Amino acid sequence: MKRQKVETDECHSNHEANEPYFSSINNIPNEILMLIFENLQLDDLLILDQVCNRWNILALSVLRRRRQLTIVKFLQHTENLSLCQLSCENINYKGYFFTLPTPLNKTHNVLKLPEFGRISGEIIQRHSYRTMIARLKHSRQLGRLSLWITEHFPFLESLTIINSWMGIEDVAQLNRLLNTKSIQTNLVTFNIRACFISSNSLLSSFFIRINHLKALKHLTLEVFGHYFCVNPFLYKGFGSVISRLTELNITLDIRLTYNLAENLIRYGVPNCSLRQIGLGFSYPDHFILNNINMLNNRVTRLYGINNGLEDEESLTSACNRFPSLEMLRISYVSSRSNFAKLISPLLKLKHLVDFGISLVLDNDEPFPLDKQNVSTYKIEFPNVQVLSLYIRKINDHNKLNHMPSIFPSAKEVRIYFMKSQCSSCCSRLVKVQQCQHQTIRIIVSKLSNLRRVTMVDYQSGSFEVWKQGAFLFL
Amino acid sequence: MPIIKLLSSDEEPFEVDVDIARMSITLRTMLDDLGIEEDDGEPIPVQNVNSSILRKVIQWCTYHKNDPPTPDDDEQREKRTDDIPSWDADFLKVDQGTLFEIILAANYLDIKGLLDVTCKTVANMIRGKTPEEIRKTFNIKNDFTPQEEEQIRRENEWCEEK
Repeated sequence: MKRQKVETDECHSNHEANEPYFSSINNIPNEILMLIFENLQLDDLLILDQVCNRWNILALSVLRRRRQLTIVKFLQHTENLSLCQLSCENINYKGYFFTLPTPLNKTHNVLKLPEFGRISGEIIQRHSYRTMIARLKHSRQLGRLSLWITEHFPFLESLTIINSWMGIEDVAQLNRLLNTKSIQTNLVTFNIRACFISSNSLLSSFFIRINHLKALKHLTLEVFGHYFCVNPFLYKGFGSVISRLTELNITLDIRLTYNLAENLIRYGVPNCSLRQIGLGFSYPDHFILNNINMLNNRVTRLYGINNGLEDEESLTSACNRFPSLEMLRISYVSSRSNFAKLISPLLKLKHLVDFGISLVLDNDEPFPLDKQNVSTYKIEFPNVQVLSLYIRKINDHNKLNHMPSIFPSAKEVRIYFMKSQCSSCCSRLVKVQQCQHQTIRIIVSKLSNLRRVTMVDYQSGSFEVWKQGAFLFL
Repeated sequence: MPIIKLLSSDEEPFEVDVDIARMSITLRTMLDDLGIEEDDGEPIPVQNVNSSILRKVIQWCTYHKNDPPTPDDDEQREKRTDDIPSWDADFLKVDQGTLFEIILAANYLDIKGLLDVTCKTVANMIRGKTPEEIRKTFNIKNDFTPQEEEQIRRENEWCEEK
């Protein structure tokens, strides 16, 4: 739409120019109206576009100053993922494939992702006050995305795409977007989270374009798809971009990450200063690591491609080589009893994410390594301030008794639990909330530095937060 | 506690603690420039703010006089509007005219905390509404042609409706 020069009150005739007092929003100067608009998020700013000419121009001005954008596309009923694409034929299981676990059900050779949108709830919550969020219509592909973004966000520095099933058209759109001058010049952070890329044909150009992002410092690729995993252009594409990154966070099919590790070492630039990397890397000495992100892939483990031993070796290697690590995210290691010893060199750890018990077999039985809980840490981590634990039951309070001696400095604790597991232990579902509150109460009473506790049901995504002095039902 | 006198635009005098008056950057500058430390008999005119609004502003400043300084805005950080303290929320339960006059007064007097909280209050009045509801709420005239309206709607149509 053609934008015209905005003049205060141009579209309002209800008030005299010389009226002594300002008594309506129509008399508020543009700069104050923009201050008000700056408190609104994308959905509402796009609505303001349509109120009147003056608001249209001011809303666009506010929008154009934003530098971060998150795009969320809910799959829900519109797309199904074929078994072929997931490369896991004849598997009938309930597992977790994405970062926030998603139950997968097999029906007529098709894996459906029920309520896929809901699992991203927490991600969205986490982002909602930092970034602009665009929620795509279910029935639409990314469509005019690149044009829209470049028009509305000329200074975009951070782009996150969540929960997208990306077909040929979508990847083409993304390529078009990455090809624009402003994105190539300004984009510092590029995150693709929980996305399923089914198109192979345009991936090579996609990775070439990532290399052209001159300002890129933080890259997250959390994508799935058979074709994507075997695409040789992925690691070739990383050849030149990696030297500029300060953070690389990858969650992929493990077969790919093994290949990727080899190729990164082969093509990687010696001065690369990675702060965060994903599973499967061999951790060459010249990497300066602060964070390690070790995620596991349920599908490949079921196939026996990764029997867990490799994980443990990687972890041991990483812990020994990088004792200054400040962040560790870890899922499955084969020997939980050995776990504390493995990570014991990491005394400077500040942020620990333990996905632990989140992996559950299709019959809902826990892994044989069911002993994962707080008590397995055993030794003290004096500097851990943020602790995220995935636990099976929230009413297993005895295990929490170890927390004060292990994590004396914890300021924030996030407990991820499975409500269904809890309800099976409780006589009635209503007790889940009581368990939840009881857990929070115990944690709060034991950790004196605590400022915040979050309880997340990682199946439904619902969560409750306790903040210091502000948890009413305790 | 040193006291100074403020004079509203309708010439009503207000006696205010200096510390409270200095929460306004505008008044603080005036006091510093004029070397005023306490009441010297001459009231300081606050020309753009009438007595009823100045009374509200002083009430807000008095309640918040011990608050820590408001941090500077981080451009990269999205603002949130669900963190309005309950006292402020009650304080701002006023008619629209008064609310906008408080905003203008906060802007003129340069009281960042008050300006922030009032802007958030208006933003909350906008949030979640349709264009028509917004126009109705704030008495705004729709000056788009039907063609312009359709064009804007089409530009944004790929985003999900609420």
